[in-house]
Amino acid sequence: MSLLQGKHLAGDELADLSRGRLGKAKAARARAHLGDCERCLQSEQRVLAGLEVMAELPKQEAPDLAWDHIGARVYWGTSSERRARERTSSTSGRRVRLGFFGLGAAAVVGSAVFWGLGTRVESSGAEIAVQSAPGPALDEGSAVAVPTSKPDAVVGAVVFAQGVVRARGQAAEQEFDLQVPVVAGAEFTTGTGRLVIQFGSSSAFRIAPNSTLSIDRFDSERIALRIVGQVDVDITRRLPGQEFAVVAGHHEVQVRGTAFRVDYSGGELGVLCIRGKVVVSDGDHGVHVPAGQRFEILQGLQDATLRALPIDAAALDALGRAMKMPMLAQWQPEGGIVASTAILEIESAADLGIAVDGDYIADGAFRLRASTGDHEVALVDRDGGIARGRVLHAGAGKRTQARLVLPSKPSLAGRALRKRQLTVAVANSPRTDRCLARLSKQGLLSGAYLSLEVGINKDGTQSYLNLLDSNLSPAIQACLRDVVDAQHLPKGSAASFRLRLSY
Amino acid sequence: MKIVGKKTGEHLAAGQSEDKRAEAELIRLCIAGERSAQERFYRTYCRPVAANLYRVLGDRNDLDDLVQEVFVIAFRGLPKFRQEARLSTWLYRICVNVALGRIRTKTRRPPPILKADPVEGDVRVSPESPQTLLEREESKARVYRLLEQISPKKRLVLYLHEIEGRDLKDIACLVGANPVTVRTRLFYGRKEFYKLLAEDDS
Repeated sequence: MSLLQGKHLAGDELADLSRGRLGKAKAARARAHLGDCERCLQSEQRVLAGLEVMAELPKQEAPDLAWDHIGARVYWGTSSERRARERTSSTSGRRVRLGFFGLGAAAVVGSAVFWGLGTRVESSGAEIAVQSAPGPALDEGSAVAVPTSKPDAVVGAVVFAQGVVRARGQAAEQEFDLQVPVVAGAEFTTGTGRLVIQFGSSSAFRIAPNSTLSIDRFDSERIALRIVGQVDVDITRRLPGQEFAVVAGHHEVQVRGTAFRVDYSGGELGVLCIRGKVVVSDGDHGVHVPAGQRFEILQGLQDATLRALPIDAAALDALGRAMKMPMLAQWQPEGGIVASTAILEIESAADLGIAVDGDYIADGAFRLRASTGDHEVALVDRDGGIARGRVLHAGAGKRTQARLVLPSKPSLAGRALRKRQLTVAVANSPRTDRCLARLSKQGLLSGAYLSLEVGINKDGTQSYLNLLDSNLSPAIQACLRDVVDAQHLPKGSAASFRLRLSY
Repeated sequence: MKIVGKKTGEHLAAGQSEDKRAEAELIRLCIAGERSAQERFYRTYCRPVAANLYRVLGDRNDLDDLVQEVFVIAFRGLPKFRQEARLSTWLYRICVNVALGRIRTKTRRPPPILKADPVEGDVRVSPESPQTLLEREESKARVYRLLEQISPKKRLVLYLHEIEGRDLKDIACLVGANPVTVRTRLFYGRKEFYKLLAEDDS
């Protein structure tokens, strides 16, 4: 649709013409075409009108917003010491004296706090009462309330363990024991490793590396996990009336049936909700975090004025995939699960990924609880394809070990040699310089790249050449691809590899 | 003339270094947790930040949330700010990233209605008729509506280049990509946008 291709003028050409950015010859041809073509003339009118509006856009002023209110929210999102001081100095417990932006009080009383003008409000005797939502007051290390009637205990099982993990009471040199049932009072610390603990049908939590999780309550009334570090929780169903909460410092993340991540370290809390809904509470206020939203408290506590913010679509998608945990399909609530299942100890060469029964589990070495019977264990290659695996038989209460090694492939030395030969040949080709001359002249060459997939035959010819990725323009991509295509290497081993030409 | 020019240059340089010193002091106090400095920081930059976000997005919905997000990120990042660029440039970069996140997550909505700011006190006298003003607002809405049809990364580059008039290296710095990538995005973004503009007869 370009004049240069003998057709109508393209939109960007019309814009360039009106801005005087077209070369003299092109501009003359474009004007001549406009003289004859009604359609392009109409298009030009629309583009001109658009350009006129666009020229005005940078002059737009900010709309009037509730600046004080936003200021208060910013302050509460970043302050830490002040709230901690107020917590200790608070006499009535729930009356908070606040000061900072002392403007616009009437507009936000009851939900907002203010940044005063350098003077604390209490010095003038005024106080602003912040409405409090009912909720438990939580302090780190506080005793858990004892219920009046004894509820039924919940017994969980470790279904996945990888890397360095320890349970409370375990000696340093002792191996982590997956056969010990998980009950209230248990505490797990992960070093480089991670653990998945299942506690019901399709309900489990995963402790990320460098985290400590202790189980404060684990019964039919309440499950309370205390975390320092990161925990992913996936709950499909709870017992009737059962509460589920993750305690992180002074905050409690209460669950409404959901999948979510809690990350608490260095006094900062992040909660990401993937499915369902959670409520983050500090005992005074509760902030609802629905699915697809995140909530962060940076070195401080939240206020009712802080809100959950959306997680961007790509991150949410990645998080959804990362939240997938290995779980047993069949669950026995009475704790018999440990004796009736088996442990598969699997290790892959070169830390490759491993799939069990077609589902990717993890890279490298791990232990996995599985139902008794046959399981297909296979390597997952770097492209996500599942290589042919082997069948392991798992007996109840037994450990079954397997080590998977990739089938032999062309030697890396041969492949590396072929790759180097091709790289050098392309770099030395004068055509490469011609392809990149214009870009180089403009000083835009730095950071440019082109990724290719190349197959080399034993006689040095190319069996295939695919373009994978590039940030170059299509013309330069095609030019460089032709340069690679023209190379004929000396005889040697056959190899296939990815080649990245970076500048 | 030459001497005057030199003096003016020195004067300007001295003024700039004075600004930089004041800026550095403000940052230092903010990091130290000085409330009045934090307030000054917020008061100085809240309107420019809101204006930047508004211009990029063309939509005042959730603008307060986005301004909050920019300042939370800024206060969080101040200790790591190396002061190689001006504070305003650094803040603008945060705005661009927050706006990009917003564009990515934004669900499809009806075209934004750009309203004139409410005027309090003195009534501003405009030489333009209400009809002209309305048409102007509709034209702006049309441009933003067309921009919404471009993918987020291309849209942002297109906005920064075609509307704000920034050069490729500047944009590359703002969006954290290399200039070649920016150039490619701009190339395709321009093609798409001006094609839409040329064909849109609404």
